[in-house]
Amino acid sequence: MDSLKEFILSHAEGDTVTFQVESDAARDFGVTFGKVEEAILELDLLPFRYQRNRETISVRQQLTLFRSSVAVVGCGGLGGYAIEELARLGIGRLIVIDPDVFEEHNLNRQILSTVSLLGKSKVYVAFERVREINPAVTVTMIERYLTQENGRDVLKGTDVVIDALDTIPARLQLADICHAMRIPLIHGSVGGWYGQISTQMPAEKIIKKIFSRYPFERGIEKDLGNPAFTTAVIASLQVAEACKVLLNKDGVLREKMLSVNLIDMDFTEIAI
Amino acid sequence: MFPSVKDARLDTLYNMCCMDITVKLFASLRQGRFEERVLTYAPESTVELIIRDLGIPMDQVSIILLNDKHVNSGYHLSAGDVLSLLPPLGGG
Repeated sequence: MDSLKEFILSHAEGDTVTFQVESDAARDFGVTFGKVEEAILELDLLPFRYQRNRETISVRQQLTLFRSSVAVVGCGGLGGYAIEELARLGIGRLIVIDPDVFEEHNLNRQILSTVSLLGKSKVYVAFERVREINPAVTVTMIERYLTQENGRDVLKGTDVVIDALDTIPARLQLADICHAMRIPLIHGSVGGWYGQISTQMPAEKIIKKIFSRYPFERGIEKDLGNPAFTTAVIASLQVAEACKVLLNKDGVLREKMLSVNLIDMDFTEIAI
Repeated sequence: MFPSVKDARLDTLYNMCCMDITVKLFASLRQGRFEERVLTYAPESTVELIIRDLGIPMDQVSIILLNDKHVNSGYHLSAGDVLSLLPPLGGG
């Protein structure tokens, strides 16, 4: 056994390892928090931060999440909440993609936006936020639009993609890229009190079915806007779906869409 | 729909002039309308006729499902069809 693992074992409390021990290990052995976390999980121990997840996500599953890579395309409303939750969940690698900076009209819902961060790059703010939450997570920043040209490079090695975009053509393009690369895609979108979510597994083309007869760039959100509560609900549902896909669990929203209506509190699954 | 009609000849007459369609509306399309209702139309009416009768702008409908299958707005309906309409949601 290597000396890092021996250090961890000798400082474990029961079957958990505190953040203080992780910090000491990272400093003393000159390795990243990610390396320390992977070593802890390989020893069948649990970083203490995940203690309240353990009856839902086992140590073995936590290791699977740590070794997973999730791309979040769009770091605004949906993307901000998704990044926050994926970092807390302990996804080992996040690729965050967005060319924009924060603007005042983002403050109504985008959790990464604050008054003092107006004008700052969304991906850079996401990077800083994740480092504050969970330094074991590696963040790759892509401060560009995802396109057919760069898509293959940017999404290479990704296990799941979160569609957190804000226009319909961009969502269709992302679905095409994920289909071609055989990467599961978790679609979510919102407008007013309403939202929807669906999971496109490799070989499926559900996003095309959802939007195929709609030729416009924006939907009802053009008039109804996107309040924080709808955005947070849909992003959370997307992260739950991503977690299930990564852990190979049943109950994924395949070939159907969940229509979420928060004014009537109605959640309906629709075969698509 | 007519009140319950027992006479078979009246049934036949009804079926010649009318068909019952179940319409389900989702998300914003429900506002000021309904969640689910049985509507009576002349045989062979199109999906578009129903959407227009409901006062829904055509650009507010992105998914049209007839008995769980995708159709376009020009599709002709049959008695007993279940029509579901959903608006486009693109925001994030």
